[in-house]
Amino acid sequence: MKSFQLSKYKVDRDREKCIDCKVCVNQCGFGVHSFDEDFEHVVSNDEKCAGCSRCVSFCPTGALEVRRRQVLDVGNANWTPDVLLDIYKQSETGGVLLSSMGCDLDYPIYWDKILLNASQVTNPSIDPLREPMELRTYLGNKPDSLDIDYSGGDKKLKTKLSVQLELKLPVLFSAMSFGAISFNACYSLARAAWEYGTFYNTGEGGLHKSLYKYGKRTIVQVASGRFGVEKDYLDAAAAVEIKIGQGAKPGIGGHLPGEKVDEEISQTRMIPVGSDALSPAPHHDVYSIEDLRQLIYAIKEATNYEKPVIVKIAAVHNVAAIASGIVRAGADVIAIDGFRGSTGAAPKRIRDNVGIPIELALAAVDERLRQDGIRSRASIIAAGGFRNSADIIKAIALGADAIYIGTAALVAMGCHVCGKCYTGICNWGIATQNPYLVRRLNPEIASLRLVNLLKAWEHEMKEILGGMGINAIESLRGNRHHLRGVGLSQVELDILGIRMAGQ
Amino acid sequence: MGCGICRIHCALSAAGTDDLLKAYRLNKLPASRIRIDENLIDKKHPLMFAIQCIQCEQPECVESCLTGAIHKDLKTGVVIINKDKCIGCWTCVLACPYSCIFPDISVSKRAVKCELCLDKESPPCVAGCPNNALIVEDERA
Repeated sequence: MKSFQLSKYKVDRDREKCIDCKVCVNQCGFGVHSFDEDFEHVVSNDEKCAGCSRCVSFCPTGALEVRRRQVLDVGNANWTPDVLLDIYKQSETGGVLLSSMGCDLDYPIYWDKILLNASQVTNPSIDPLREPMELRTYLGNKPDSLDIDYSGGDKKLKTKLSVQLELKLPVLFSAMSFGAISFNACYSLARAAWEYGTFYNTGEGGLHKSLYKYGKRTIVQVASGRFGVEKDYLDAAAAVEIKIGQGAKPGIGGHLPGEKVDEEISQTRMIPVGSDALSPAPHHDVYSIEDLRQLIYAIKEATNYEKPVIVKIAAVHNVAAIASGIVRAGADVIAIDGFRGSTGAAPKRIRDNVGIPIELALAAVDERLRQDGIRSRASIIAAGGFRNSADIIKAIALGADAIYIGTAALVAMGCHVCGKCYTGICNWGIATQNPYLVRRLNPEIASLRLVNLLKAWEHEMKEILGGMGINAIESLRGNRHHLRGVGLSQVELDILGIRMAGQ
Repeated sequence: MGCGICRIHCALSAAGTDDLLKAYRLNKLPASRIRIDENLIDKKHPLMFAIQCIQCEQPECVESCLTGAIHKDLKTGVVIINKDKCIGCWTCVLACPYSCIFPDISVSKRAVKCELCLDKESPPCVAGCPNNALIVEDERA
């Protein structure tokens, strides 16, 4: 049947600047640009454009511009062109609309409605260039009190401490599986975590043999598909994360299309080449909180209680109650993924409409755990759309122990968030298994970019903390007095547990 | 990654100007001294790299040159074409087993090849490669 699909992007080539060098031709994996032998110059086919801006970045004369275009100027405020195009597509294919990356709808970003304090006059700021500023963070189960033996002159700690993960700053790389992203991307994350002093997460993809050497900085994930999970996998890691849910697609399982499952993926995930990697929801041996407790302790037994066990959940309506249950079930760390979390592939409707903002979820969980008197039993990692160091500081003030970054890490490596990961074509060499494209991501450069990002954020966070008159991140943790809201209703202020600016 | 940006940096640097557009429009952009070689038949193992004159120990081009315009500098190891003696017959272009001598048809009308940009701090192809694929090494012990 005739398709009513129209390209959402327009490629503009300034002929005055184009030198027909054909760099755009060889760099576009979607086949937009080609050299026309008859015209003897480069031509572009807008229909295939994914809006990734690879050609724009690489054109030596800046001759290209790629813009979203209002290709359809019909409909009305309710029936927008995007809404119409989605219906056209579904009437042509009968299929579920797939999408990648995070929520694309205009829901409020609460980080942008929260403001930070600064010290003036009554409480002097601290100069981070002259005074030590502690950002070091420990994740794991903490005791309620410390028992110290003062007898015999020398102080001895009697309380047995649980194993902790030590981070140079409260940021970790979020779970991104080998399969969703390329090997070069995984390698870059592993190297950067190792060189900087934080951790990265294998996601559902298993751990590639050549990355075992970064094991001490690796969090391995045990997800519902149990891909790659076996003895060596657990032994190599610094911590084990049980993935119950993910912010981008709460309640449903993961999907890696068979086209992306090549020999390397097959060996690492331990599934046949070319088969779809479907992660079911739920874990088929976890149907209740008691089952989860059983799985947590099974992993602790298998790892000899030497590694913290993290449980990752998506932020949904009763996230506070769920979190309380998980902490009581024995998790050492609980990771909460807000609705802005990204993904390699998820149904568009679920990505855009399911889940709640991490800002509200975090505040609710922190408050609930404190009320239940169990806040110190587990550390909280917040995730889902963290963009910069200010978002991180605000999250810590709301109660997070640390933050996972996913999209931000990929962007640091070159991702332009075009959202076409589900096609398996990524011109930046990140969300693809195509060897021609993967080589474009040089791990030497990508890991340096990641380390630079963490260093930059480290300095910014120290400046912000210094301005607040604080010299240790521990003093900010859960300290909501340092936050004020603007443009928020009283209910929102109450849930966040902060006051209105001016109060 | 076969992007070919090294060719553009090379040509521009040989043109003696910073203005790429001006050089292109006024037909002052000479031939690049580096080219891309690729074999994409096996999709699982695509092969591509930038190749330039490898400054052979026993250069075929030196032997083939009709006027003796090409010689190998014994100190630096670089094989150099003397622009004044080159008559543009392209015999060396045919003789090079790596196809790394190029006829500069648009500008100098002579044969050109990579001479390692020893007068510059860093060869423009090396500095300009977006994926750090080119490395310059001094092999003299």
